[in-house]
Parts: sequence; C-alpha cells; structure tokens
Amino acid sequence: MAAQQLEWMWLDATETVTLSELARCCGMSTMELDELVDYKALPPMASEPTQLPLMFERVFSAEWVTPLRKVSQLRQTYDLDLFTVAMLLNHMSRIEELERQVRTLEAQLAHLPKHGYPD
Amino acid sequence: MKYKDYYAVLGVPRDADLDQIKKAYRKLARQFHPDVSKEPNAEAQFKEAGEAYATLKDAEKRAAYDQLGKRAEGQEFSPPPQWQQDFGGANRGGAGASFDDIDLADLFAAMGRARAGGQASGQGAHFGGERQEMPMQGRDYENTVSISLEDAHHGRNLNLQLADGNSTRSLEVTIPPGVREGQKLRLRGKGGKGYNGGADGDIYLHIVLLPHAVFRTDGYDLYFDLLLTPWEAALGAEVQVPTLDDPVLLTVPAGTRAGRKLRLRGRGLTNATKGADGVKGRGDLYALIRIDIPATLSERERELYQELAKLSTFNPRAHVATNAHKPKQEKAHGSTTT
Repeated sequence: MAAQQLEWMWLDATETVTLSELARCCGMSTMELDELVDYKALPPMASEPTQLPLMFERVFSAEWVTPLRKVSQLRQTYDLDLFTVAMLLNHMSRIEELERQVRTLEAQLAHLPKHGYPD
Repeated sequence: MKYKDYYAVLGVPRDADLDQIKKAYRKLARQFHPDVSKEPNAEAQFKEAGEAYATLKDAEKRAAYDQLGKRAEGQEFSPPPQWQQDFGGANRGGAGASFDDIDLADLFAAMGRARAGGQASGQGAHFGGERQEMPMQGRDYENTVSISLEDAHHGRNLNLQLADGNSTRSLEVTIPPGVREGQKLRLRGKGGKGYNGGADGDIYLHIVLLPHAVFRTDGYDLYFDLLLTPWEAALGAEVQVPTLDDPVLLTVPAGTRAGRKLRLRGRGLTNATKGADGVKGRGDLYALIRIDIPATLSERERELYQELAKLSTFNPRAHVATNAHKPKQEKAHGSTTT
C-alpha cells in the first residue's frame, strides 16, 4: 500500500489556533472555552478576522491543544465541572513547566561513565 | 436482552440522588481507570461503571431504566413494546425491530442520540420519532513516537500504521530537522473518517527522544561530560570532542576547574523555528568539565605525583577549613516583632 504524504502542524508556541479550531481539537464547545478564558486558565492571543465581515475570532497558542485535550478527557471520565477543569489546566501547566526544569537540571548533571565515553 | 443492575454496579441504592451516584461513579472511575489500576479486569470494570453512570446521571434515561423494574443481574428480559417500536423506527428504518442483537448500553446510547436528533429537529424524542442524522467527527488517534537524537537533528520520514476499522492504513510523516523532546505534532483530518458530514479526526504525535550514549538535551542545547586529565585541566589542552556532526577541536584553557561549562556555540540541535533573520538557528553544545585520574599509576607516575604533592601549596579545601563553623551569610528577610 502506498504511503500518503502528510502535512503537519507543531503544537507549540510557534503556531496558533482559532477558538473554533481549538474547540474541535479538544471536544469542548466555544462557549466552554470562553468560560475557561474568563477563569484566566486559558490566555487568548489577539483576535483574527473570520470569513464573515466585521467578525473576529479569538486566537490561542497551539501549545494549549495538548493540555486541553488531556483535561477534556479527564472531564469526561470523571464528569468534572468547568471550574475544576480550569483549576486542573493551571496545575497541569505548572507541572509541565516543572518537568521542563527537571529535564534541564538533569541534562546539566554529571553522568560519569566509568572509563571515558561508552563505545 | 440481558438485564444489568446499574445501581449494583455503582453500589448505590435505587433511590440514590444524583450526588450519591456521581460520587460512587467517580470513586470507581478513579479505582479502575486503566491509567491507574493494575487489576486485570480494570478496563472492563471502568467501562461498566461508565455505562451505568451514563444512564443513571440522566433523569430521562434513569426513568426509562427504572421502568424495567428490579431484576436479577444477567436475567433475560424484553423491553416494553413501545420502546421496541420507537427504537426500531429511529434506528432500524422501521417500527417493530427486534432487540435481540443489542444490549442495554446500546439501547440507552441510542436514546441519547435520538434525543439529540429530536432536539436538533425541534421535536421531543424518546428513542427517535423522525431522528435526524447528527454529524459526528471522526476518531482522533494519539501516538508516541520515539526517535533518536540524530533523527531529531537531521529529520526523518516516519511510517505510521493505523488501524482503521477492519483495515490498516499507512501514513508517511516527514519529521523535519529540529524536533525537541516532548514536542507534539498534529496531522489535521488524517484520523478516522467523520460520519454524516462530520469532520475527519486528527492524528496527534508525541515526540520522545531516545536516550543518547553521550549527549543530553535541554531544548535545543546539548550537554555532555568532558573528562580531562589533571594536567590537561591545569595546563590547558586541545581535545577532540564529539558533536552530532563531525568531531571538533576544543581549546581547554589552562586552569580549567571541574564543574565548569565550555560552550560550543551553534553545535546543538537544529532549531526548526526560523530566527529574525529568516534562518533556522541551532542550539549550543556544552561540555561539562570533569577531571578524572588513572585507576592505577605506574611507578614513574606515582613518583611525579609525590613530587607535585611536596611542591604544591594548593589546598582545594582551604575554604571549608576556614568556614566550617560559620553560618552562611544570607540576606536577612522577613519581619521582626518587638
């Protein structure tokens, strides 16, 4: 079977997603995402014009896609309310940042091989 | 159709209120979640609790379920004739379809879908009436991809095999140079097919870098331990060091102490993001200085070390000896009360 060539998108701060696209990615409604913005759990970037004249849509960093998908899944599993989801999102962002710091420190720690470089 | 006692599954009485039901479900979901539980039947128990909760948390579904009355677990029964008619009309293209090949979970899931369809068409619905086909987004796939540091640096093509219903699909994804540990990629619309006009699902790839024998990563920067002999550290030296490309000569300055970091600018991982000048940058390579000694000494080496020991006035522990009983001088903070 011939393999299909694909286009991809980084899910990090170099890319952006619109509110509706983010809602599609994480299985939440745009109103629910707006509520997360109101709770300061999901910071929007600038608004972008939509296809409709004089209409603007909120834009977010694509780095929010993965944590939002995770919390959305937890929300479904444990039937969590949206405020809890907002708190969870904050804590997950904090954990991710701490994990990044741990990786940085681990990289800078010595890992001495017994005799020079391994083969 | 086999009867399932959803109250028993959740361990709540039949007159339990919604709070009790939710609490019981959450407890079971936490206990049997496949990510948490090591019990062999955890997944089945988790699914069963979810099925029970989906029915009992919904007032309309719960009322319909309660109509069935209390029966023994697994007992064969026939749902009320009206259900048969409604369900058949909504789901089988005609009234009076049989319930033989479905279970209770399918029945209540159909009820939820039918109600959503009824709401969409402005009608109240039990199992259906004139049920409208709702657009359903295709399934998303999540995959963790482990690649070597060299592949992250140079880029590579990945061949993904995806189970799609009864068949498998092959997808080729080009991972560009400059992938970092923990980065995520989204392949839009390449997941499962959508239904009734719903969008196709996506594929999410989580990149994990395999441990490397020499280098450790911190974002686009690389770290490695550069082992020096005592005389290289004291006198300085030019040493050949590995990079992800070809080895390079690194000048170690005289008097280099253990723990210092020497930076080789632009010898780290390729940064996929272009800088302000429109050119892709690279991280740096850091050599962490460690000083090593031979495990055994020759006679002559021992003599030379002994001579050095007599000659040298260097005491690396002088600071410790002077300050052993002094508290660390720190900036005072906090408030004092009188």
